[in-house]
Amino acid sequence: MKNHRTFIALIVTALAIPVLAQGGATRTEGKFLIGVTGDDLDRYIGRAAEYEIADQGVRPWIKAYLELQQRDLYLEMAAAHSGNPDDQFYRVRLNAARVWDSQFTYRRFLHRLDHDPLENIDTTQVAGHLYTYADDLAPAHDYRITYSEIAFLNEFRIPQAEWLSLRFDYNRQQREGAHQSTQLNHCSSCHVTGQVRPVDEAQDDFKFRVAVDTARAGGSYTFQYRRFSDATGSLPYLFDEAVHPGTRMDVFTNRILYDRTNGELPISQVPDTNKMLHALKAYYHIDDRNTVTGAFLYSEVENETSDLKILSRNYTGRYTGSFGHGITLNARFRYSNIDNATTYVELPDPVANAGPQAGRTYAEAYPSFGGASFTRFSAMSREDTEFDADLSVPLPGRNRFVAEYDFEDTARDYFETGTTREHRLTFTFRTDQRRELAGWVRYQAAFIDNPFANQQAAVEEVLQPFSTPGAVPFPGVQYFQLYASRQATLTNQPAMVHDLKVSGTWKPVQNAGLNVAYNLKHSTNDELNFSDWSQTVHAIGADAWYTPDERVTLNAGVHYTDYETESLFVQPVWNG
Amino acid sequence: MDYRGHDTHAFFTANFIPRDRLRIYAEFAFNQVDEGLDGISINMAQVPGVPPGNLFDYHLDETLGAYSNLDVRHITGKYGFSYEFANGITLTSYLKHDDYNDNSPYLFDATGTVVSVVAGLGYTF
Amino acid sequence: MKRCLAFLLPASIVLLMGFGLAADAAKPAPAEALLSETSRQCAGCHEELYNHFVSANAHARLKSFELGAGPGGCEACHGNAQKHLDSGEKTDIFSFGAAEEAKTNGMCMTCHKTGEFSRWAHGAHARNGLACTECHTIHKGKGRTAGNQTVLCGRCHADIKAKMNYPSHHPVREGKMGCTSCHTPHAGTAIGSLRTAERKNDLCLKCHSRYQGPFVFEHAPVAEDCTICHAPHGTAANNLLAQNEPFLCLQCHSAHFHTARIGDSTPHSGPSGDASNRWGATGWIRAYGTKCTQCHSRVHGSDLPSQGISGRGGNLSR
Repeated sequence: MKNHRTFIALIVTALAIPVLAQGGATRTEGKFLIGVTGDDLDRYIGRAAEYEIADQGVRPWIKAYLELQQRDLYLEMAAAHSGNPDDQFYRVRLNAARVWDSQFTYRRFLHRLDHDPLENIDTTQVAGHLYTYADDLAPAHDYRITYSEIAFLNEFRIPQAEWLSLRFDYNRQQREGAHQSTQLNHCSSCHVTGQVRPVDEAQDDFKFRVAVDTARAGGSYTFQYRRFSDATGSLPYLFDEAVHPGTRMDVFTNRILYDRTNGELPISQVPDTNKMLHALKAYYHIDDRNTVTGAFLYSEVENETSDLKILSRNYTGRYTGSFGHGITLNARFRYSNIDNATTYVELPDPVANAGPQAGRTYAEAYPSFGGASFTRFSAMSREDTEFDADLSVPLPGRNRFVAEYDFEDTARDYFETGTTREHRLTFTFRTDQRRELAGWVRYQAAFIDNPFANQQAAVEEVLQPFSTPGAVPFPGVQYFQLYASRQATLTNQPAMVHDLKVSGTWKPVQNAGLNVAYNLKHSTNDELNFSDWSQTVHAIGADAWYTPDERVTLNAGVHYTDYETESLFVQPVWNG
Repeated sequence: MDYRGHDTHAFFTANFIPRDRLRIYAEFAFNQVDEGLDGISINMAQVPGVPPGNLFDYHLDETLGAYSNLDVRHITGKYGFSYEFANGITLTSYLKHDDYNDNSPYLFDATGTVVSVVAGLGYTF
Repeated sequence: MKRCLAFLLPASIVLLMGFGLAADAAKPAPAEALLSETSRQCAGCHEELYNHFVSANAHARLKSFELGAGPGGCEACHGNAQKHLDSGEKTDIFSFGAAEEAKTNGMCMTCHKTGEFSRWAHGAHARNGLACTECHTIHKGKGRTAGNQTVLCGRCHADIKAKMNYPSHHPVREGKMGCTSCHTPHAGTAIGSLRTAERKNDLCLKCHSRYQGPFVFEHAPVAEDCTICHAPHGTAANNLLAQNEPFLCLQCHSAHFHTARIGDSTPHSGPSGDASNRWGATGWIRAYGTKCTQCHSRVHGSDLPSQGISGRGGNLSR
């Protein structure tokens, strides 16, 4: 009923617009549309209509647009309602005397999510006790999220101080609905369950900016505060009891941190977070041809659930110069520092309830393990230094050549990859023969030293000969020993990239044209210690358009991409 | 192992105004994506050993890609007209279809079709 | 919320309409009031352009405090028109169609030089010699872009436009967001033309805040760069994954050791009664070789430890 009220209110308002607009407004224009939609659905529509309303049957819809100008008032309004409350759009833009420019937008749309029946997880090797299986606990649930956003943007300018502008923006995003949450249980068997995880997320962004702009120089200060919260927080969950899959005895209780005996525990937790950002930006036109700009950003991100915090600072400086004859030079330097707090993670060391390890913790049974608790160092903490420069030179005959160089040094404080250095060169040649024949060729080469990788990805050596020596219980290689023994580095990041793009547009006549584009990108990483990684992409496309007269427009195109990635496949030979 | 993809996108759009107040249009798009994991070949001579008890068969890994390959043909179209039959009053209508063919279902079969018929009356002022 | 909007929106619209209608209609059109006598004479030959300009163009609404010492109307962009009025020659006035892009852009940037425009010269569009008028129509329309954003950007970025049609994509094709939701075509930013002054990840986190963290148990590539796993313009694999699982994961990780186990080929009921061992010998490879995130479902990070003690709770399954 509530939804019908919205719809009716909109119809009434939209109908009133042209009537009201007949009055004294200086200029009005607008459009009002009303109609019906009939949908016919067949089978699964989560992909065919992933972001769209598709209800079997007939529903009404309405759209309206109005633009009004009256003295110093400019007003623009747009509204669309699909007949389903999950698909709406409204925008009101108001400019009052060029002093207050305001835009309010509300949008809402649907996102259908997949429902994994988990049917592939269903196997056993030793019937009766060694299973990997799954239970979809909500087999009929239709997972979907409704996304809505309110954006209220305001800019204020003062005629008596035209160099000053103030801005206040508010943005709210909401996600409501549910997604499927899957949860793994050990150790009796590997058991995966799929359950409904309600989503009730809201994010509020407040932004305030003050800017000063003069003919020669200007600057701005922006303060932004964001808060994200999920009202659902987490799901309560009762884990399976960790018993030996064969004997059903409590011999595994020192191998897991918790199980059914701990009662309901939270899963699928989404923490509340907040973010505060201060940004200071400035520019200075040295003269008509040379400009420098600078920026300083400081931000704090806090996970309110775990009290973890990220602090980041970044400094940017730019120079742009024009040397006459269309020659331009740009240079940019940027330094940033991110500090994601180090934290001590205290975990329990439970004891085995039964079996030969009864009364002992895992660390006591395997002293080299050392205990579950550890200090967490973040892979995010780093110092980034970037420099790039580009030179753009016009050549005779409406041609242009651009050369670019980019350098980035990423020094990670704790992550095993350490420092990555990238040098990138780009050369572009463009031609524009009076719009009859235009095109460009771009070649880019990137050389990356020590790219991001998992340096403990795979085991190469034989850790233990067959067969497993010793008597029960569990004397063989342990997981933590396997993890610690990984010495092969794997990644999907290249150490070298060659990227060639060619695009040409031919317009033999004013009303017809053809564009053909080709891209070859070859990325390799042959610096890994046990293998190579490579990726080759070929993409070709053609677009043609023809407008025989003002009444006919035709456009057709085809794009084809062929790509191949090669990587090492690693299968540990291990019985767990 | 390797992962290969062959993806094609083709489209056609046409706008035709046979009379001053009549506009006819058509939009059609064809998308075909075919991607998957392949090329796993286990050389048992390089395998240092197999856990005892006839529990493992490493040749099974050669079929790994079969469960995650993707082959989707997605065809969309929108065909309609708008006709201004009186000053400022327009009749508009279109047919839209979205045909998603999941030819190699991953986790579940996502094949489905949505056909919509839309009709409306507009007033421009 | 919905109830508020149901009444607030229409009420606002009606109030604003009333505000507009209450004004005196006898005054001249506000746009024209700004135009100089010289500019008004342009209508003599360029009537259609003039009418478009004064009726629907934001430039025609500029106030004197925004123009500085310069003239308003046609002359604000085309320069002094007197010589052209006298001679009627095209060469006697600044013509955007005939000018080099640098001069065209220079004219626009006489006013548009603050905010993101101050970094225009650092952007890919500027250094490749694009003119403002390649994307913007000034006289007709609203003085904004020359058509639908996806179509407009797709003219040059046709490969990206094609990707928007892949099975997994942001809702750009559906019109729920646009290219400029993530990109700023006017400014060179820290990372290409992305709409952020921070890291690439910070752009993604503007909308995907649930992955903001920082998490106690983190997945290093998530902290590093979202595009290690995701291709934001469109992919065949769901959730904008650059490649489908398990290949995506297997590039950096070894397969699970259980993957090569031989399944029992005898059908029977499992622990929950309905498991039927349906896949026979290939059951293990299907379970462990199809989708890693069925078990490692908190792949973006978590504050809660996973069950296994050997991995110190870090297997991202809870």
